[in-house]
Amino acid sequence: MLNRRYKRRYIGIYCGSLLNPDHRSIFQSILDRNSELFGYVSSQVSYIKLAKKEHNHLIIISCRTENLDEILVSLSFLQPGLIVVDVSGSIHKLKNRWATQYASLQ
Amino acid sequence: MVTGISNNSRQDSKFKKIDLCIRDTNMLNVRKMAKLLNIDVIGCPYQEQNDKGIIYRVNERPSTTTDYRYLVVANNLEQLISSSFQPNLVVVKDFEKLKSFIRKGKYRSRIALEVLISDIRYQEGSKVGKWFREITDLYRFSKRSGCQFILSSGANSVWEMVSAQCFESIMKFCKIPPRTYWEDLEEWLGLQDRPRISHA
Repeated sequence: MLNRRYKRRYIGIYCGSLLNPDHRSIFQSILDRNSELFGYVSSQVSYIKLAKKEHNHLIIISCRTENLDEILVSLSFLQPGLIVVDVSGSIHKLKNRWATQYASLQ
Repeated sequence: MVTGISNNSRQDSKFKKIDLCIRDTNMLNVRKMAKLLNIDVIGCPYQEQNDKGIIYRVNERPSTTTDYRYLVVANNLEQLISSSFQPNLVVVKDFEKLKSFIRKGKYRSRIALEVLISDIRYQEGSKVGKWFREITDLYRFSKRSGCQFILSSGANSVWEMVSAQCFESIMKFCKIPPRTYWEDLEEWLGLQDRPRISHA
């Protein structure tokens, strides 16, 4: 078995319009919308994952780099409206930027 | 390795990212969010206070010279029939109707055809799929007919605003090269602005 990991991208999603956002249910709605728009197979091979919750209004999900555009399109066509604030190859850099550049949103 | 919005903004810093239709009236919030989403130029409905950094959408051409940038917008195709009304851009909702209008020559060259993401944002998957096909066709059509294609968020609030990278992802699915799109749009905006400046 090849021990080669695929590249992932981390997407920072801001859900400031919701008072008390439930990250799990929002993540499920992202999966559902992605499956609806691009099919179940594509959604599965995108390997979309939800990162551990650290900030109330920031949801971090990750996916395979090849499927990044599909996920971004799904996020743009989602209800409730979510804002993609950042995309990074490293979750640490995404969190750091959230703490500095996006401090005004927190 | 840092990728995504920050990296893209560095690579494409010479291209201005433009969203010409944001309907939120709180301009302070809109500007703040636009900056975070890497949107350089925004367009909003005209309000009493003038902000030089914003392109205002107006329904009629102002009779006097203005110190703000504006675009005359037709919200439906029927307005194009009137010979006296010369909009800069028309908001497209019915694609087939628009094509027949343009084939009949009821338009002026370099008019912009604007599509709003908000029109389809919350629709079911099959309608979104059809919308993507129509956008692909409309882009090709606008290239052939000398019109400017514009993709805008149509956001009713800051929470519906779309980041520059999401715009580009949507474009890629519609076979629109993002760089070409941003360049063409900036050039077109410059051309629309020229008469206002020369009158001033």
